[in-house]
Amino acid sequence: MKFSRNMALSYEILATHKLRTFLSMLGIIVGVGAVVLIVAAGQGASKRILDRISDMGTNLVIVNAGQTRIVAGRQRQMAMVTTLVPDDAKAILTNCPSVRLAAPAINKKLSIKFESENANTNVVGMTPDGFPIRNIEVISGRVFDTEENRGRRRVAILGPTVVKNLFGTDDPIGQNIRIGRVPFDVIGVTQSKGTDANGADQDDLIIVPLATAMRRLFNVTYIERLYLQAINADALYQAEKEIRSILRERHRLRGKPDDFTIQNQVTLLKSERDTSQSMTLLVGGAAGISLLVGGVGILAVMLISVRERTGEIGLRRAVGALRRDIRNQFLMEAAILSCSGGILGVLSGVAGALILSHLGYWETIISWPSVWIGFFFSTSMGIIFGIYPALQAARLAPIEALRAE
Amino acid sequence: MIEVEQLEKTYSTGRMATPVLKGISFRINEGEYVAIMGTSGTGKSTLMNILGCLDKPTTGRYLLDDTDVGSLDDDALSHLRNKKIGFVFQQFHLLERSTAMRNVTLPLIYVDEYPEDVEKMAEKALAAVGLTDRRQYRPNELSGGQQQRVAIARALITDPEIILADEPTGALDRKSGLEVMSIFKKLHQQGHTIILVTHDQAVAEHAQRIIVLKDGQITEDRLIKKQRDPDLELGNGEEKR
Ligand SMILES: Nc1ncnc2c1ncn2[C@@H]1O[C@H](COP(=O)(O)OP(=O)(O)O)[C@@H](O)[C@H]1O
Ligand SMILES: [Mg+2]
Repeated sequence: MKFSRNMALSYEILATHKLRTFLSMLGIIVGVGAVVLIVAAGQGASKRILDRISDMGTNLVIVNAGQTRIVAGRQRQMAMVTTLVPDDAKAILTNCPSVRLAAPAINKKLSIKFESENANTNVVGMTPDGFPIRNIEVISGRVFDTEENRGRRRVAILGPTVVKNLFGTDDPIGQNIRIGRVPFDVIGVTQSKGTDANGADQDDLIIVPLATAMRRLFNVTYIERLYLQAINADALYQAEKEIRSILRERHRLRGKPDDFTIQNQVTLLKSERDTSQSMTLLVGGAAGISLLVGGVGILAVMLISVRERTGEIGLRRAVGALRRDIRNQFLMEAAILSCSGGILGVLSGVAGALILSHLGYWETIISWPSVWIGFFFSTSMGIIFGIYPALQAARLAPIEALRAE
Repeated sequence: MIEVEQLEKTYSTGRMATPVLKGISFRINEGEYVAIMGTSGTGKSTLMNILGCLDKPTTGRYLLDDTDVGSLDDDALSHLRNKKIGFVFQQFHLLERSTAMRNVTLPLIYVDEYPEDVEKMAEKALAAVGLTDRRQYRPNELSGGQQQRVAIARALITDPEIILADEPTGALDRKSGLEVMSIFKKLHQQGHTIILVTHDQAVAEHAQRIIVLKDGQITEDRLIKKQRDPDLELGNGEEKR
């Protein structure tokens, strides 16, 4: 009640010390703004990753040859393994009821050439089923078919980046390029997929029939990877189980560890989400610490304020303020400071996020929980750090305080 | 009614003990106009702080309207000050950044029942000191005399029984000083008890009674035969010019 009576006065006092008021709020503004912005950026990154993973395919299961390990955010094969072969795909299709489609694949960086233009790009050998499994769309030209694969035809489908590098704005369909030394006819161009979760360009690739790649380009009999599609989303783990058992049997692994690694879309999603969330938490936590610093800023300013306004405190006591009235007044001023700082922080964080999105640098998603947490955290920070100065003010004896002026 | 018996006050700073009041006893009835006089450093302000319930005597008794002030705790003293006492200080003690209006209403923040007509009360108090037209002025836009009158309006707003003024004219020129004394005269006529602390015989003579303090003791306590009239002097002063 006395709070509201005093509100206007406290506001006036804070308003007349504009610079100091602003400086005391600055830490809180930066802290809250950073929390809101970073969480928004993190959530944006998260969403991007999830989008990319769903871009990877539908009900996707991936089998990689050999044991793999994540190194620097990328999956690496730990040792050269030659046991995975195209027939494994056929065997899986016939023996695993939870698997609908299977596409064996292999890839390698090779130099490519069109007329005088050269480039190095990722050449993928894949069977036609790989297109639906991996959600790769061909927007101009056509996809090669099983016949062309079996016939080891030299046909190639280019990613948009390759088209740009070799042909600029010209139409590549029907042109003849060289992959290594082998000439290929361009028959199609894929839809752009942008960058993947690790920032790698997904459009910098050439897809050729698997058999052509194995025989004419890489000269190998094994493959690196199987792309498989489960019959539905619920069958992913069942599919994994069936695939594992078939592969172990075919690779004669009794008593030995797997010579392949199976992942499905759900586990990929989960691990990516975990990483990005722990990242957000970490950076958000760092921003939270800056909030703490903001609280210390309020502490310092309130201490100065108490010292400077000793005479005012004495006067208020003389005209009837109780100790707790003085305490509450300074607490309230600290709360006003941190609360306004919190609001300004939220506004600047949200504005920053919107600007970032708008300029197209980084997709951001404003997380309302982070806004609330930032706001309440800053406000309680201000009140907590306001306690000590407020108690100091309340402790002053009226005559001492009056004499101070 | 104010009654003090054998008041003593000793300040102890570190190992030094300074006795300032050494056995003060008197009684001031409701509606009296008393000047407490003495040279600088004799303990007038110390006595005034005790009378104003801002400080406690080291020993001795202080009865304010039959309440033994010595037995009250900090909160009760605050209430008492808020209700019964209006302070006027030599240095005005106004909130520099706030308007006259807000300065005047400051004590109302701490009353038990917040009155509904705060504005009216403030206007009335400002009218009583002749500053109706300065409501929205801040201290730095007012003369010293006007500032002191704002401070008096602040002391009046809770309609206290007692007004304690410590050297209220000490920082003012002659004319402003007389204007302030004229307000005290009016307040006295309205029934307030006024205790005026001053080192200046001439100022003290505006009161009805003078208590003279010397070295922490009362050396004189007498009624004034011929009270000075500030209004008359103000009138004269204006005619002369
Ligand atoms: N808080 C204090 N601590 C120590 N000595 C004090 C304190 N307040 C006042 N004194 C001393 O008490 C004496 C009387 O002071 P004061 O009451 O202010 O005198 P006056 O108002 O008559 O000039 C002075 O000598 C002063 O130094
Ligand atoms: Mg004094």
